[in-house]
Amino acid sequence: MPVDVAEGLAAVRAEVEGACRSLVLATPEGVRACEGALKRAAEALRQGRRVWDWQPAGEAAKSETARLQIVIRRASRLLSNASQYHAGWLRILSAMTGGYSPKGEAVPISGMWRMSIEG
Amino acid sequence: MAAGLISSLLVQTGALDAFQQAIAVTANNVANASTPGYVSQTQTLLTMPDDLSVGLAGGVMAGPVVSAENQYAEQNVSNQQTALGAATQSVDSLTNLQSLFNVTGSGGISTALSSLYQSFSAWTQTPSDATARQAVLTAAGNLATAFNQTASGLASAATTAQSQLQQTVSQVNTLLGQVQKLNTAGMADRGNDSGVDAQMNTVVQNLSQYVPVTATKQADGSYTVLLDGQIPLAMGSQDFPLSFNMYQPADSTNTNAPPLAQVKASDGTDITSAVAGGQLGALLNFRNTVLPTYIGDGTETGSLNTLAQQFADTVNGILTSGNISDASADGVTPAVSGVPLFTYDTANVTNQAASLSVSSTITASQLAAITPGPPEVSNGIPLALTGLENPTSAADEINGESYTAVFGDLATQAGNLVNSATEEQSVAQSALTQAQSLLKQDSGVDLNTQAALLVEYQRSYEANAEMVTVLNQLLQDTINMLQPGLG
Repeated sequence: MPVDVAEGLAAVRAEVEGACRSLVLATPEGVRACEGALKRAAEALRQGRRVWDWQPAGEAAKSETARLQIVIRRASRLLSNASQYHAGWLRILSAMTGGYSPKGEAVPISGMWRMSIEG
Repeated sequence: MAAGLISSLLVQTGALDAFQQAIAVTANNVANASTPGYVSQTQTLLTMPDDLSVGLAGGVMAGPVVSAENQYAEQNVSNQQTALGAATQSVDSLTNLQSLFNVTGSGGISTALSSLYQSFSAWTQTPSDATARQAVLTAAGNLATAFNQTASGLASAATTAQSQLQQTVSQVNTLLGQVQKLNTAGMADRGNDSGVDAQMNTVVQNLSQYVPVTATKQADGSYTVLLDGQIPLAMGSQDFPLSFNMYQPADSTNTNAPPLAQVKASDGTDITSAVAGGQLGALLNFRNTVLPTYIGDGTETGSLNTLAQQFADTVNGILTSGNISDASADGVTPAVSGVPLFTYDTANVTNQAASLSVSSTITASQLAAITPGPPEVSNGIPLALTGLENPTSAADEINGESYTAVFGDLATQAGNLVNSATEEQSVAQSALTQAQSLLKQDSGVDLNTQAALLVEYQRSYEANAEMVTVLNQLLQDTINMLQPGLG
């Protein structure tokens, strides 16, 4: 863990940027890789706070914080988009296999034994 | 026996035909792997009934070609195209706006305001000095010019946005015309032409950059394109072009104010509020929401006009409260009151910054310096004017801030808008790449899969061809065996 705040934040940013790259690819492997990168970034921030909280915030640290904030917002948006996309797919699959509830919502897939056969 | 062989031969030639078609579909997939909007096709193979007792010899025949098109993933890409289109347009429009509110350079309102305060301060030292007075007039003229130039820049930004709105609506209508043509072609072959689908996907993605659209393929092969999920833009063989105009809202209290932009559906309905995304949405937001906060509209004055008007009124108020010269000791000659320094268009509140100027009748000697008192102060007016830089009275402020700070806020606001639009553009670009990746995973052409399919189909074809040769030979032998008997 770098003692210098700016260096530490830059290392965290590199992890989050890696997660963003994985999320952009959006493959199952990418999503798994992103989870690890984000966990490492969160842990590094947690560890870093214990050291950095005692140091004065210089200009470099402030700039790095702003950059990290932007990258985190990007990761958040990519995660949110991916989540919405897959949730939408799940609704479509649920409706295709289980039909609709009386309220007009797709019936959730309740177990792994359901099959859909066409033709 | 011959009948059975002929039947087998027919089955094998049917299979040959099916695999030939499958190879053609796979080859088409490979050839179009990089074609924008192309979705992978699959040749389905149908099993034929097998019951020799009724003359059905089984086998395989080519079924319909199935498209891997995933409208859900396509729509996801469209949505991200719309977000990126809006962000890109916002960055373009707002960067131009930000350049008008420069607080660090040598020109602009900020510098001119600072110079005017410096001239007030210098005048304080030598209230009767003609040079100091002339410097005040010059600095005031420079400030008025800076306001005029900023207002002119904003008006120019409004004109540019108006022209871009017109062009964008034209581009949308051109694309809708293409959708209509593709719909006609798609309906002619009941939606079985993958080339038409690929072109339609490309056109819809282009359209999405400009306006938020949803495109749904219909059973007749056409696509229904809706704006904001509810306003028809193209249906079947018809398209519904948009139109654009400028108008003064009904609740406008200032008929001379800059008009607002309006987008209408083909039936004349105002759909401006429905165009909340894409380049068109960003332009409408810039023209109808962002710019009026600075230059005003039919219901608001605009912050630049408010700043110009309140600063001018305050300076004029201080000057007219003072005296140019005292009354004579004998009371015969009365004191001469101060005159206003600034003038502006009082009939149109949205024209105050653009019309701000130094009074054409004022001269350096007419600048009032004396506060009548009691006690009379010979440099009381320059002192009061200098004090405007760091005001202590609410009357010399706008919403609790000095005039310098108010202008700084305008610049900060413009800068923040650009920063957030730039960040949004970067995020939207990543989100679009993600959506395209998700689409490609579902309906794109995977060359490895296609290569495997091609090998599989070719082997099947070769096996069938071999079978046909053998059957053909057997049939020939059978005929030869039968021929001597016939003779």
